[in-house]
Amino acid sequence: MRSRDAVTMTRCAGLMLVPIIAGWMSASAAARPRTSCEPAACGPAASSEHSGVADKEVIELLCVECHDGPEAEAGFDIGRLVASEQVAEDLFDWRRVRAMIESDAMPPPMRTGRGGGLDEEDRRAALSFLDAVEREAFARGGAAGEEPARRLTRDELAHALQDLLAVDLDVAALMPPELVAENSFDTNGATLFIHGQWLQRADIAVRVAVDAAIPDGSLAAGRSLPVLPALLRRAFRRPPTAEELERYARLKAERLASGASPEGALRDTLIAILSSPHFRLRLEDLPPEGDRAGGQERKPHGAIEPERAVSPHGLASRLSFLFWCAPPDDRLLDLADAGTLADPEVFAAEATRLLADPRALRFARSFAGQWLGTRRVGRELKPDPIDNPSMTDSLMADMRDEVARFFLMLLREGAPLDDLLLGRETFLTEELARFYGVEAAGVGVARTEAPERRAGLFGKAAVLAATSYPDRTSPVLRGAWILDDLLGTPPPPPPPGASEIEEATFEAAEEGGARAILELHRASPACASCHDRIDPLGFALDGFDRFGRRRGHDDLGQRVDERGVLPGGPAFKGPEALSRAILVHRRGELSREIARRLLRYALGRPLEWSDERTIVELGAVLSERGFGALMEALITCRPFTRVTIR
Amino acid sequence: MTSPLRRPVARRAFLRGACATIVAPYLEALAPRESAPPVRAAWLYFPNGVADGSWRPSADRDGRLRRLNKTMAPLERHRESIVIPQKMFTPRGNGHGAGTATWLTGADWEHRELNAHGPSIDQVIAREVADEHVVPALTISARGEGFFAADVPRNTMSWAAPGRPVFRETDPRAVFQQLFGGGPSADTSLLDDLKDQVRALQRRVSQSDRRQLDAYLDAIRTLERRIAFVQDEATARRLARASELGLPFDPERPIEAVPEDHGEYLDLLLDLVALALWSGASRCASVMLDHGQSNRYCTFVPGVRGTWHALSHWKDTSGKTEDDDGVTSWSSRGSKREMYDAVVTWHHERVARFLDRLASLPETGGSLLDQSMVMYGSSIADGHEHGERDLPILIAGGAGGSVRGGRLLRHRHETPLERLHLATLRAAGLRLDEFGDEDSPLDLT
Repeated sequence: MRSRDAVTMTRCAGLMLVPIIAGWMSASAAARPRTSCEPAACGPAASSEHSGVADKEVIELLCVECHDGPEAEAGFDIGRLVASEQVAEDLFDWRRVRAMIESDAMPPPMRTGRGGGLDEEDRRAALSFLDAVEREAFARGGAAGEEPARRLTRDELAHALQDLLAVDLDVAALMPPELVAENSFDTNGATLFIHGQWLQRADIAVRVAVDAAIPDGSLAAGRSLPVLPALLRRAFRRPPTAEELERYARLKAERLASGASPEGALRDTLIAILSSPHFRLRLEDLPPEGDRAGGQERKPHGAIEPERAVSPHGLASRLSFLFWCAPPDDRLLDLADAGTLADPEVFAAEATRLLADPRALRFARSFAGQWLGTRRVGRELKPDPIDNPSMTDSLMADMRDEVARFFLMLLREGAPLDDLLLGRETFLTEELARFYGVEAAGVGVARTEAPERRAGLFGKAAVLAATSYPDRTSPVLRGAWILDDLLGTPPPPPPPGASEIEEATFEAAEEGGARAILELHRASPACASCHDRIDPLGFALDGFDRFGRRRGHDDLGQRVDERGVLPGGPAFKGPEALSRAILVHRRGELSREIARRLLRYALGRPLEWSDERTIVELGAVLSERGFGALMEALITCRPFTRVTIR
Repeated sequence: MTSPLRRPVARRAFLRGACATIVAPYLEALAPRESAPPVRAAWLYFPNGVADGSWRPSADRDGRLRRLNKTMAPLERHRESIVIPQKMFTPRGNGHGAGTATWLTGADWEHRELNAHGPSIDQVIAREVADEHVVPALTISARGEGFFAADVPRNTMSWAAPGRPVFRETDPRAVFQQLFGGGPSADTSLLDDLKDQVRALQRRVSQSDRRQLDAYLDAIRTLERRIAFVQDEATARRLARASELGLPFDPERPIEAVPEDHGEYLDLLLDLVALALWSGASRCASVMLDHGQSNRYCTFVPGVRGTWHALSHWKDTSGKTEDDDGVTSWSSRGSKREMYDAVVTWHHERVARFLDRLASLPETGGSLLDQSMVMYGSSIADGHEHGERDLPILIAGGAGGSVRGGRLLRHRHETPLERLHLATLRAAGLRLDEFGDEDSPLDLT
């Protein structure tokens, strides 16, 4: 394993397990070989009646020897977990344990004296304990979660200016790109930092947009006074207070009195409004001073903290920032003013309306692009233009947009989960159709039935490019992407020293091409516990090159071999069979991970253990009833419509 | 960490609360004992380490530097200003991510919380001199390329507080505007009004949101300080000479575009750092010459193929490994190492040029280099081994007499980077008892 993959996997991995080979070795040397359950130690676990305590013992026995105390392997202290009473609060950590056990990545082979993982009985016992952990956590009732006072993202600010000022100008490039935490989104309030340069660059963007709007006449056309309250309402996403109306009216009058032209006075007023924290921060749902609960406070059964319903204007913003990456329009605000927006039927109808609007493509670009990594294609991941003249900027934009439009179609049409991986309908421009080697269906973006090999996500050029290195494909990268971004079971980063192991295997395998090298490095026990899960998935996509073109030979000139196997599942060949295997054998993981990512994006905060219940529920909705039902469940779920009072 | 600052600075007290009276270039007008210009600090970071041995100089028995390593030839002309401390280390985990994020904090890295337990040293200084400069600690980075270009730990060296990374500007035009305006000029009455709005909001939000609003107020104050700074007469006097001294402050030739050439681009950023320190816009600056795991194709360096990070794994030459791009390959370890060295040497050239610039700028009693303490280095030792011991680190500049150059510091034991940071803080005039877990500053005199 080369550290570049270490890189990749750290990028992909939510888990920060760093197994240390030396540690495994010494632990296994010291430990007795344990191939079966010893009655004295875990008799109860082996019996048909699993008590929680006994099940916990299995974990204690097999994990804690290495994972204990401050010196725990990988810094992961399972000893603490086992001793802890706070089962629910520890849910995230217990899930790490579960992921390792379910995938047979832990205990390592040296520890068990077998191929890695637990034997059948121990496994069942451990998983039944982990099920009990989940149940207990859910029984605690969770929490709505806080809504951080986050600022608008770069994209949201740019889109807000477009919509409010009715200018067709994208000012995003004037602002610095957002930093993002691994597996997260730019909407995450925890990484939307506020600093002087952000303020300054946002000021520049605002001024550029205002200057573009004013000569357009769209705002200046002699109707400046009636426009002000309406504009304030849209900018602040709520009815302006009398004091606010007065402040900006006065500002404008002062400018006029001091000799400014009507345009100049309007310009200054607009800049002042668009500089306000009420525009730049998401504060529309702020209860009045001295009343944190907004007049209503309730502690649902089992909840840890009191919470309240999000206000109608808060709901309007949550909906429009989710689907349009911008503030609500007048209709949404009217419904919020009238107090009817919280009516479930009205709210669902509005969601449908927003999704049907062309602006919903912003959401699809942002969410799907960040979730799947396709937003980087042609940007951070840029092929050398001299060596790759066919990879034009417009083609790569079409590739990115194909994924966004495809995803949006699934949402709009309420497609079943299966269509994500198997759907043939897609959106091609002439250039992209030519790239795929199919007939263009029309001028511009045309909805087309894609060739069979292009079905679902695995056939999309942007996905295949986003999971490749700039100059080559990597089954490891693609396999890790599937495990992490689609299934939510990321492989841990490779252990330090992994590259030496590979170096030895490498020279032996030089003749055999990529598959032989990887087969060999998987033969090394230290690598195998993860690479047995990773590589076979990636090989199913080996029939596509680093830009997603079909190919018969891989980068090393070997004939492509698309055979792979799903860990604990069937063997398969090629992307379609992989898709089907995932939809049957990993359906729960896939639907939960999609739900998790969507919820994370929509809430704009890191997810907590108390959100797990929602994720499981949303995942089940997606799995059983498809994307339409998922979106409806998402916008009505507790963390989206309620907020913890702190 | 966060041990309290013990020193109430008289000069600062004099200035505090008077943000309109920023003392721009350190002048002349202050009390005699304070008349020496303050020590400026800079931290220049490069990723991916150096090949084992490529930082090792030749020195005599007493530690006098005879010659820098041949891969450091561009820096040879500054040898007499340079101290190379050996066995510096920072055991914080992966040097690309955790090592980068904690390079200036001397604390542990919490991945899940995105927390390097700051503040970082530059922000400690910034806090102390907050009212005296437009941007007390300038934070700059080369535009990222490839994977991790938006990753938090690999792009973050400066932390205002635990979990609060400091933004790093990458656009030279924006750096210039940050220091001197030149974009849309801020309107003071508008800023006053914004402050009122934020303060009113602070009474209505939760504790955690209040921190966000504090940051908002800080951001507004930054703009106010700039207005005061550029209106200051002493600033104007100094800046009038900037252009003739070769600094990018030329009314005739404003910075209009980001240079295409990577070398010109980095040189411009570093010139802006020199300008910021010399003009008094900033007290200190941290610069990432690239992000913590740069996968940049360094083909702009003559004779080099492949990406920086791939080259850093110089013991693999096949070009077929997961680490490489699969197309580029190398004939031998030796030739790959040469390319790895060449990339690092190319960056040494940028830094040597920066030191030239500091040495050419006049400052009371000498040059700006005499009054500065520049730490330059990486968070990884040998790139292939991902080493964290014996990091490539050097200190350049006289630090107002606190650093005696031309020396190799042979340490018998591993020496935490925090001890160097503590020495820098002391040289900068901050009387801190400890930084990180260390209470004994490196002796550089």
